Amino acid sequence: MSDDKMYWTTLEQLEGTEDYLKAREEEFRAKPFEDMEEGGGVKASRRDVIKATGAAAIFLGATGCNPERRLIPYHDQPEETIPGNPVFYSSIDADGEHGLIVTTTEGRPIRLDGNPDHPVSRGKLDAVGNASVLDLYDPDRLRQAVRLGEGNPEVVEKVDDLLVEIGAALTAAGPRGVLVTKPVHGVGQEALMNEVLEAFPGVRHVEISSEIGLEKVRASQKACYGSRDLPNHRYDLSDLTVSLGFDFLSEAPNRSEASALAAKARKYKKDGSMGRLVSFEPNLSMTGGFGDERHRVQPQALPEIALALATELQGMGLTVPGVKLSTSSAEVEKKWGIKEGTLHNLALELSKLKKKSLVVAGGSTVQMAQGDALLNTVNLINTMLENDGTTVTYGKAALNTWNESESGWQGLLADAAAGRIQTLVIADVNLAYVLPTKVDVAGAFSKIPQKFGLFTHLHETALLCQAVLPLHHFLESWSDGEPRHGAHVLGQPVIQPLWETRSRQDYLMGIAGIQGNWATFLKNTWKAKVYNSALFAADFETFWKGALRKGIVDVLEADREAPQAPRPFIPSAIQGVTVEAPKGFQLLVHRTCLHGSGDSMNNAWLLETPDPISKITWDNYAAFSLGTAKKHDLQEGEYVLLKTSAGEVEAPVHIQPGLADDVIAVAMGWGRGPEAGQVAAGPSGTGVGFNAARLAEVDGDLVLCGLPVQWERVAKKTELACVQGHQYLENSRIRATGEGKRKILQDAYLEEFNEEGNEDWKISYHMPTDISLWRQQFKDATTHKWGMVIDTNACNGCGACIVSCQAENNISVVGKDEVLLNREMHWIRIDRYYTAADDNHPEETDEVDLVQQPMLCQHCDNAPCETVCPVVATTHNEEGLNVQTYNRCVGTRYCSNNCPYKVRHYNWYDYSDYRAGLHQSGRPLTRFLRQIGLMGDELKDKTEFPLMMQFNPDVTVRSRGVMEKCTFCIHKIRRWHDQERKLGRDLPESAKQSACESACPTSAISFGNMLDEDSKVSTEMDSKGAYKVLMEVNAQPNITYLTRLKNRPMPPKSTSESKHH
Amino acid sequence: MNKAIIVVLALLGLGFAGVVLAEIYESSLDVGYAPEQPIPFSHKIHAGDNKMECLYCHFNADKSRHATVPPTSLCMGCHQQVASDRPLPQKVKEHYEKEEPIEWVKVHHLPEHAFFSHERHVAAGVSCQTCHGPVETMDKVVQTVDINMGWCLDCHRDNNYVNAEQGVGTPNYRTHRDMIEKLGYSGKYSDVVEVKEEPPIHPHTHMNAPTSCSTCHQ
Repeated sequence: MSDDKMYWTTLEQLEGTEDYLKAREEEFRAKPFEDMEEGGGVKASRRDVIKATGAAAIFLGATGCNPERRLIPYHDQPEETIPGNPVFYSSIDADGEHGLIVTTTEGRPIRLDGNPDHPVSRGKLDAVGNASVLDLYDPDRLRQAVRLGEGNPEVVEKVDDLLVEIGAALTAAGPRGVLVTKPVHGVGQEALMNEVLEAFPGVRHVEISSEIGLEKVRASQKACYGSRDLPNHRYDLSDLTVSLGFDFLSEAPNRSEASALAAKARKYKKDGSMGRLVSFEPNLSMTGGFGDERHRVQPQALPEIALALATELQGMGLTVPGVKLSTSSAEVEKKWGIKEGTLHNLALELSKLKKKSLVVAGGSTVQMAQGDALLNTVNLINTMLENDGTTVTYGKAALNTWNESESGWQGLLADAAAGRIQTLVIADVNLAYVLPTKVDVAGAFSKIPQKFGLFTHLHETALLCQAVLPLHHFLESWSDGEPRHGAHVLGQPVIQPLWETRSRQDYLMGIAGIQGNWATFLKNTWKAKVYNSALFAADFETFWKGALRKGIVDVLEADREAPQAPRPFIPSAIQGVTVEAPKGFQLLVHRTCLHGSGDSMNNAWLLETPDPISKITWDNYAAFSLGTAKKHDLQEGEYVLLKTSAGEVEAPVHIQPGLADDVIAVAMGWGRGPEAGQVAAGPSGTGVGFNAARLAEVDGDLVLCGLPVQWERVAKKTELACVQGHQYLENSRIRATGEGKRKILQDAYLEEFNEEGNEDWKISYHMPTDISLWRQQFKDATTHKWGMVIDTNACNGCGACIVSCQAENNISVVGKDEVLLNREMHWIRIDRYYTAADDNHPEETDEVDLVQQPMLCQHCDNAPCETVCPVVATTHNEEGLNVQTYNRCVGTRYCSNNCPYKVRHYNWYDYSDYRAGLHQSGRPLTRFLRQIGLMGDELKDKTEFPLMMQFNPDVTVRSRGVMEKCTFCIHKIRRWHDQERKLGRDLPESAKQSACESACPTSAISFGNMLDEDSKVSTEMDSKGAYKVLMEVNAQPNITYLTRLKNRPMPPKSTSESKHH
Repeated sequence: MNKAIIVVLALLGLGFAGVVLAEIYESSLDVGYAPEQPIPFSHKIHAGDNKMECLYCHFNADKSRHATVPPTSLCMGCHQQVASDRPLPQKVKEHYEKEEPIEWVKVHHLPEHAFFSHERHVAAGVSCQTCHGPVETMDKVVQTVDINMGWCLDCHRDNNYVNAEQGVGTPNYRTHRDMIEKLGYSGKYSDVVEVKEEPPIHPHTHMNAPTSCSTCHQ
């Protein structure tokens, strides 16, 4: 890293626009009550409003009297329940992919953590997993069974009768009956499904997964190796991973696992080595941003790149019998604008890493006409490199979770449209939304005489059914799963059902007339199939309790890890492909790790979590590259009408440096509309974002990539709520205008990082003398001084920490309008910095590297916030924490003004009263009047049962007018102390994790006691390349960052004249 | 909006605000607050005359933030046999049989925004009477102290549980007697409350009563 390298967070910052300068100066962008003019033309001065505040006391007063408070004891206190203490249960999420430790207080699950024993998620939990606890309390869930017909839904009182009716309908239908579910796995669920199908001879079972690209991968595996198993990728065993358009951190079905393994591979090791991740991709994906080297290419280039790589490898003597390739890499490079020699060098590098490399393709980019060729060639390359069996595992190690039916939705809808289906029972698959709008699901369904749904919401597909049975949330239900062969996971209910819902399995048992209940069925099946399959010393009851406690019984772990022989490759799978370089714009419909297929669109936490790359909340958008945007003079937020052969949609423009030119990338999962719930309906009631599925084509399978698209301007503009560009750290644009050079972040090429004579690789800054206004006592903490180390090299920006913190600390959602005013409340944010990938050509701003830097309260020893608080509301405690006392805070906001890291958040309103923020409430005056009770507030829905049940009782729910910020999970720290005192010994470090650390899928965050020399945080603080942000300010922060490394050849040092000032 | 209306509203508001503030104040500072309970339970009979330990009924006090009132089943544990024919135990029995919880009226309120853990204080050897007064002499529980921050800090500042002679972590019961004397009660108190098993002292544990804000405000 050269000292005058430039980093920037937003284009405004890069260009040094007025807006940027203003935003940097003014953290609180909107003045209170500024611009309060309402449509009626009434003006209220600030003074008037303050007077009116007094009036508000009337209304508050009416409810403020202190009534007699009651203490209601248990009739009989349940065993293991101690009011005030959390109880933890192990469970699994809806698809068994994540093991959970559920924290419950007084019978309410309030947060989820990863179960470290789970073989796939390994103790970590992604953003969606963390947010799923909120779905349990979603007030829009379907609460009772309903019949739909003309007019309003009619509540079904006698559910059992309805089940019998459905059973009779299925029996009558016989071979014309179909049962649709998500992929079923787990011994209990499979056994149940078999029994159900036995009860209805002839009825077909169709399994449909909402993941994308899987059917293509299966077909390709079948073509290349003869088996439809989904292979598993061992990113951790690969020294060089090449992703050909596969954003596996967002789109792989096992994305959590992939994140962990890819980060593990790229971890800097003591010997100076680290793994390397190279991406060729049309959009700037999380994977590309996380990796070491990116190439922007059109999607159609991917198959040819794969073939060129394979040809190069063939030329290096890595042949596969029967396969003869002749694709010239030079031509491919020229055709697709890739730097000359790139493919040859990459192939050379791969050829030296046999069995230790990995080439992957998948996700949305294989959902195109040439996707099969791409996947087949990638398989060929892995066979050539003998990766098959080592970094690509199959058979027992295959991904077991997504056993889709071969004909899938295509077969189902074809049968339906042809009138071959008489009775349909569809459970938990939202076909009408996830499929492209072009697929006429409603039309096909209308040909089915009897259709029944098992759903959580009255959503798009549910509304097509005649009767809908409400489903449990997974935290209310028993379940099991087998995410990997032999790894049996068990899910248990942790709360009584909130509504009159049942589990899918209980409904199926009712429909099939199977006696008993699902819980007993599950237990008995486990006895027969798991307990009896291996030799367990304990009796069954003990075994069962142990399994429930641990959440997993793994009987095949050794088998899965055993080395595998490479599979013979079927040469006929390879056919040469030449693709015309496309003219005009190409569309890519992709997924993000936050919104996936759109199932969680009613979850306000996820909607307010910034996108990992663009940092935009509450919207999806059409992303254009910077070059393309400049060429066509596109402005951020302006609307364009996108047209493909499938349909058209209006979308706001987002200018995304790093996209391939002439590619438009749009994210799926948005635009659900009111059927999905009140949050998903958005302020206008028409849905948050737009539905990209309207643009997707169908050609046997989905076509999401490489679609020709036309666009035209629409005279409409919106503001995208991007959180990057709020809370500028001082001078975070380094060098651009010759301003100061205070160091915020540090990145380096591996080569220079490993240079001799630079053992420390410490950031060079002007170290201030250690002068302090503070007494020494807090620096001289005796037993504990809490600190954190964040490895920016491992952070991919996924946002799991943000949601985990939100769940743990009762952090409010503020809504889009408030985010636009810089008022988001997340205690931890992930700042994304761009930097020119080629130091010598910084002006080519589409060639960017990313640095993701989680930013949270640094708990400074010399905390600048503390000196300026006039009421001493922010202070230090005896363990080195900077703490905030809410009831002392009077809201001067001086502290935030003085914070160099901009990590303090002010409650402008009682945000906690609102489920999706105030974004539905219009102009500021309306919001204000509503807040003080002068206007009816039909939107004030926090108090709507049962959302408030999620609140963590250990953390204060903040009200209007106070400042808040990261506490380093002080309530957890105090619980650990209590426990340690009780036990008389230290808790293990693994039991002491902050909420963000516990969630982080890549283990980028370590939290612990810096006075304990053996703690992880102490060790990592001393590792090479550790630095602190803005050290010159002398705030003495207690968070240490590790350098972002780029493992790719370092460009030759630039000459001085190529630098721009 | 008419300015005059705003002014009138503001004045009214201020008046009400005063009332509200007074109300809020009372809840934690209301010395002498002794509400009627649904069943006139006598602590004097149980804890005083029959010398039952506080923790027998309030058995969560050393395990959790909340001391909790006992589940009805616990009352019945004794009252199946003891005084089962008396009218008050009969009332308890009614509740038990109907599986209706007894809605006791809360006497001691914490000020808003403060977190208090019974567990920590019991572990540190603070006697129940320090805060709740001589409950074992009360037929009807009455609040005896102003539960305000200054009162909490009185202990946390002056009576750090570090005793120079006895070492760190040795409970110092001076507090109890001093507080009682200060409050002017004349019941019988033993100087030392028996702690059956002293918890092992963990070196990383603050036995000192901390005075930082985060001790109570988290």
